[in-house]
Amino acid sequence: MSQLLLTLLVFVPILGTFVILLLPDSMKNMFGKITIGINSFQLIIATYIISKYEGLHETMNGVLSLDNYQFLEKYDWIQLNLGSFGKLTAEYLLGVDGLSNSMILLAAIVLLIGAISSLEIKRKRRGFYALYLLLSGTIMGCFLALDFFLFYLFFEFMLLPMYFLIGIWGGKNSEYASIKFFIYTLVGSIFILVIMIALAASVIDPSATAVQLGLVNHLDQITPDIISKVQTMLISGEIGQSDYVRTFTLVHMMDAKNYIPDSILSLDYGATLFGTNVRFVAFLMVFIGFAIKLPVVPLHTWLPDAHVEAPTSISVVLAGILLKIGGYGMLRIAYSVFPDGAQHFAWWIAFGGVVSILYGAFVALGTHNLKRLIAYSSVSHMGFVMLGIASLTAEGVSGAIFQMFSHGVISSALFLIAGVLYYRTGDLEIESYSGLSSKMPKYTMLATIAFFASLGLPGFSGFMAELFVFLGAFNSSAVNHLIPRWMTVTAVLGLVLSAAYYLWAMQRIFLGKYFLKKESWESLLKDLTPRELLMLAPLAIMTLALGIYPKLLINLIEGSVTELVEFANYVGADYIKTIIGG
Amino acid sequence: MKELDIASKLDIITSSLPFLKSEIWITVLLLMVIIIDLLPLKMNRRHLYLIALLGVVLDIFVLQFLVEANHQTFTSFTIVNTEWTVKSRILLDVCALLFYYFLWSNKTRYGDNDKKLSGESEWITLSLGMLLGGHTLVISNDFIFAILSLELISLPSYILTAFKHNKVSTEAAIKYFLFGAVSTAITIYGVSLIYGITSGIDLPSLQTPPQTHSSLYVIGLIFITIGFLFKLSGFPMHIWVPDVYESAPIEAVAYFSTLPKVAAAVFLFHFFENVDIINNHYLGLFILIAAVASMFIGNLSALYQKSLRRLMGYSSIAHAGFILIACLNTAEISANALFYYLCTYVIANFAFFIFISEVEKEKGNDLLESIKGTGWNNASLVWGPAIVLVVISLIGLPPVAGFTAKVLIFTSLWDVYQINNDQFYMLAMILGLLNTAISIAYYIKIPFQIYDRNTKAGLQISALNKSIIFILGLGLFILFLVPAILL
Repeated sequence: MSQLLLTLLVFVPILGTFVILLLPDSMKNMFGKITIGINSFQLIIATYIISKYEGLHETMNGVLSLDNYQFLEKYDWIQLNLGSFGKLTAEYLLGVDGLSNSMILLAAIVLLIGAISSLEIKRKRRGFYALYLLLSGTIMGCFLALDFFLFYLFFEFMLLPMYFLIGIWGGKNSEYASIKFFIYTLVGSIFILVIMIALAASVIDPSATAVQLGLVNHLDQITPDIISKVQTMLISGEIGQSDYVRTFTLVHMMDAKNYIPDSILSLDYGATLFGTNVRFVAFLMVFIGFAIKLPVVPLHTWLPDAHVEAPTSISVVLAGILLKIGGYGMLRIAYSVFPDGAQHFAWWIAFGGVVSILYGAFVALGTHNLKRLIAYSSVSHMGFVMLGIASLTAEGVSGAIFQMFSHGVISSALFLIAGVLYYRTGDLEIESYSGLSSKMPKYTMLATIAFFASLGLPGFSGFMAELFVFLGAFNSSAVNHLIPRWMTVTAVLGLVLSAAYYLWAMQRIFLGKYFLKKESWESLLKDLTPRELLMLAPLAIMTLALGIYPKLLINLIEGSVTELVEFANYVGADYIKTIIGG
Repeated sequence: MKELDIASKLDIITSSLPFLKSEIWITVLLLMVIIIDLLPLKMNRRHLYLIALLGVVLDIFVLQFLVEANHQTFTSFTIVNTEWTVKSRILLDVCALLFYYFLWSNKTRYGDNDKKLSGESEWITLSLGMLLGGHTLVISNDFIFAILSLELISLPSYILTAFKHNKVSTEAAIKYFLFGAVSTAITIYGVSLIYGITSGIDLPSLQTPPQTHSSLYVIGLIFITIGFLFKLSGFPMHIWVPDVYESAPIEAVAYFSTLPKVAAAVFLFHFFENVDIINNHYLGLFILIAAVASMFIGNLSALYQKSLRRLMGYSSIAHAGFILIACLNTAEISANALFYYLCTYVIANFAFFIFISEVEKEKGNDLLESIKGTGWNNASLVWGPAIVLVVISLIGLPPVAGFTAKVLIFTSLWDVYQINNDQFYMLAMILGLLNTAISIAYYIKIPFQIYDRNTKAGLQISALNKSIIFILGLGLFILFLVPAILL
């Protein structure tokens, strides 16, 4: 049973899509409930996985070796015989480690809350819920896939339901916003695709190659000795090209010994492209692909548009999870496969992070639309993720993952808060409201919690995350000399700015004299319904819990983060030596 | 090739006959259709389409038999028979099969208000002629044979274009004809240059490039490709495409967009294999530029099209670019990639043209606006998602076969880049993939219009066509899951 858990997580929602498509019209009112049911099922499995995950295990931390992933599922999928070019294999490979476990939980939570929130949708419900379930499945697949091809499949397939969800159920300008979202992300994923192809052409699977060469009869008999034997044979050129088993598996791409000696991405090849070593260019391309998704200034302009036009539940999913796939992808692919590039560009990445933090905050300060304000605050908060990752310290990277989780929870809450107003009046201009606290006390309380959590007040998860990031970034100048101190110092300004725009927005909407732009709204503005409370309260509790006792999350991710950081620091430095020496 | 006396030449010719079973059968079929049409039988002439359809199915069996019985490859001075050419011929037959189904379903439902000049047997004999031309082009191993086959494909297609019997259709046919004539002339000129330099008229004689006249040699090679670029609708011979796609009968367009392309691509691949394009810098560069330019011209022009047919015309120019990229590498991987790509392209194109034809029959035009909101009623649950899959496959996104095809093609391009380390190839790879992003902007309009949120319109598609579209869409998905079927 536990062998199938991850598959269930991915494919039950996708199956649900077809169920909803085939149900008769008379069951219209059941579509939403079925979706909530399936998303709850996802949450139950995700919680079970997290509860069984051994976070403090000595070896089972994943990242570097397939054997160390937990809940691993591995099946052959595509095997193309390319004659003289060898074989090309893609595997159905799912697994959990410290980089992905928190993201799975987050995705399950946010998707369930998004499903509850989408009960507001009244038009064309069959299509909406079918696409929503499709999205739920592909998001999970994205976090679980350990094979680059499989990951890419989910990564791109996610765009399509998202495009329709924004385009068809969104606001007035949604066609423009959705196509912008689609094209931006697609350009990013094209960069990733180029490198995926390049990697698959350069990397072999040592165990499958051993079988191909006849060293062993079956994959079960593979021992570390045989793998190192194959790797030595590969380097000395004893393996003919037609015996190569080229692979998409990420773990094999992380080991420099699996690169075919003459291939362009191998360490000692030393090819340059546009004046830079190809490996560095490759890192940059993958990085940019994910940076668009994260998003990083100046590649962020799709985000505010998409958020403003998307329906509430889709905004929640977009901010809560989709942005995190950018950060997760950086760690899982860009940093793991090209640690040399990560070090080479660390300064620039950190700089991009700082720019995002400040630019996002400044723009948020100047916006009049509540959703746009939250969108720009997302840009600013994702800057912290960049800064943390760039530092390549355990604190920094943990902080980045922590920030992703915390921002997922908080931004979901924020978009729900905006959705509450939008659902009642259809207007999100900050100036249209004033003094709401007197009429809607429960709403005001939850909004205050969300705002304070997001601006990084101690006691909430946002504070912890940003603290870790600052610690990491500051230490980096002492530990690995990647980020100068002034960057961290400048980034702290972001905290002040975020306090400014949140408090100001708070003051304008909730405090002061009671005022509404239109008098007819008076009767519409009722306080929170039980359903809305049900969505917001757990999020508030979660951000408080993580702020007070961060170990809940840190315990889960610590082992894997340490492993990744050590790998990226030491191995990355070795790689750079080889590249520059060769 | 060394001089042979007449007797041994005849020997080779007779020994090559078994490999021509399929071509002979198509010729017989063609004659049969003419004779049946002339006989004063009291049958419904529309049954002729079914006869042709059955004939093509039979031909697939003949070829299948050829695959199984004769794994040995055969090369004479005119034809070459390998597993690869047999596979491509089966693909050509599949094009014809779908075409006859398409014709039969349209003509039986909507009747023939056409003139006597374009009755059933005219449609069938002309298209069978094209099929025969495609077959012979695929197996041809010398230029004379290739040019004859090229013309055998071209001439019927000029006539078929005019089968709507109105002014626009005739104009397009004349345009098509003039372009075709010029490009064939250029190809023949190229052949004469090559013949002057190497004194060989067959492809294998190109395997040893001449020591002198190297620039003239390259020019000759480039000229030869022009005629095939015309069939492939690639830059710089792409100008006829939108007009012909707009004004020819829809069944013929579906046929033009698939069969000649498959045949020309397979021949170009074989030609480049003999020229060793990887090490022929200038020819490689020319093809690279033609490929990238085709993509840009096709995709950028398609952005502003309002008519579905013109949109598909420009899209087919863009796809020619991808096909050319697959021809750049001579390794086995790129033969596989090319074949896989062509298969997905044929499937997607036929599904989409059947859809366009239904739209035209109901709405009277092929404008993007007329499909607005047609996807919301329950009758569209079968074809709606299938058309979305088809469009995604044309873009080249997962989870459909178009994506795998794109990955394979660019893997083969990367392979060339590994060998010659030429930055142009890397650049072409990035530009080519960027074109995917451009193409999204117009392809996605199709599903977006189908699922327009403010309108709810109906579109009646016959049950049979609906299921064919569904099967083709599903086929693209299955090919993605198990690509090994084709490789």
